[in-house]
Amino acid sequence: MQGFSGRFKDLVRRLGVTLFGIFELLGLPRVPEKKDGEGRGKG
Amino acid sequence: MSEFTQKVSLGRTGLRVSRLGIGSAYGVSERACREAFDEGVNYFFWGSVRTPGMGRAVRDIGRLHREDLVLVLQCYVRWAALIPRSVEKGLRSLKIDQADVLLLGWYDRPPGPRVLDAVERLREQGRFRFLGISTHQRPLFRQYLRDGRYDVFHIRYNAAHRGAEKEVFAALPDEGGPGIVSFTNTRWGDLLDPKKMPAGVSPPAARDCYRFALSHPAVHVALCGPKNDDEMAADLAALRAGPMDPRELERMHRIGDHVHGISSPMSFLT
Repeated sequence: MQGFSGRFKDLVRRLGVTLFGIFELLGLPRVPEKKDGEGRGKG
Repeated sequence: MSEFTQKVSLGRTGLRVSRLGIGSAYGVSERACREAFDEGVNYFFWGSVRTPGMGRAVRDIGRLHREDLVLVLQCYVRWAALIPRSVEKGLRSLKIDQADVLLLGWYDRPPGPRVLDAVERLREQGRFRFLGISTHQRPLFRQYLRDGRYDVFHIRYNAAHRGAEKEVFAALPDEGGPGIVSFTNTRWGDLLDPKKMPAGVSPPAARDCYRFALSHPAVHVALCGPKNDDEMAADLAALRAGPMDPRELERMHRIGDHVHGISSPMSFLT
C-alpha cells in the first residue's frame, strides 16, 4: 500500500509521461526544413 | 584508439553500435551530431523531448548513410489506439521509414495487452525492427527479461546509482541477452558538481561518467545528452580514453557513494 508521498510521486510521473506523450502526438517541437545551402552533409 | 572506439553488437539485436549514444533532449546542434557521426557515433535516441538540431542531423545521416545509423524512437504514449500515430509522427519528423528500435519509455508497470498488440502490428507493418523498454523500477527488468519480447533495455546506471549491477546485470544471460543502454550517466549532472563532492575531491569530467558506465561489461552503450558543441566534444573524449582502471573505478565509487546520499530534484521522480 503506497503512502501519500508514493501516490503523489506516481501522479507526477504519470502527468509527465502523459504530457510528453501529447508532445509526441502533436509532433512538437517541429524540426524545421533546411534553407538552401545550409549545413550540407559531407556525403 | 581504445576499445571504446570500436562498435559492438547491441545484444541479441546484432545491430553494430557505437559505445556512446546521443539523446535528443538537451539541444545538441546539427553540426555536433554530424561530427560525432563522422567519429563513429551511430546510436541516435529520438526521445520524447526532441530538439531540432539533432532532428536535422538524423535526417541528413539517414538520407546518406541509413545503413550505418541506429535510430531509436521513444514512445511515451500509453493509449494503444494512439501509439501508431505517435510512431508515424516520430518517423515522419526524421523522414525515416523504419526505426531500428522502438523504445517503450518509462514503463514502471508492464505494458498492457492492448499496447503490446498495437506495437506488434507496427512491427508487422515494418515501422520498427526491435523492441526496447525503459523503467525506473529496476526490479521490473527481471520480469521484462523473462518476458523475452524486449531486445533492448534502457537503464539508469551511474556511479551513484549502481543498483543495476545486482538487480539487472547479474541476471543477464552470457549470450543472447538484450542490448543494454545506460542513461543518466552523470546523475542529472550531480556527479559533475564541485559542491556535491566529498571534501577535498574534485569532480569527474563528463567523459569519466560515461567511461564508468561503459567499463561495466554488461553495458553496450552510454547515452549522453550534450547541450552544445563543447559538451559533445567533451563526451566524445570518453571513447578515446577507454575503460577505467581499478583505481579510477574506486574513485568513482567513492564519489558515487557520497553523491547518492544527496537528494536531487530529479530523484524525486524515480
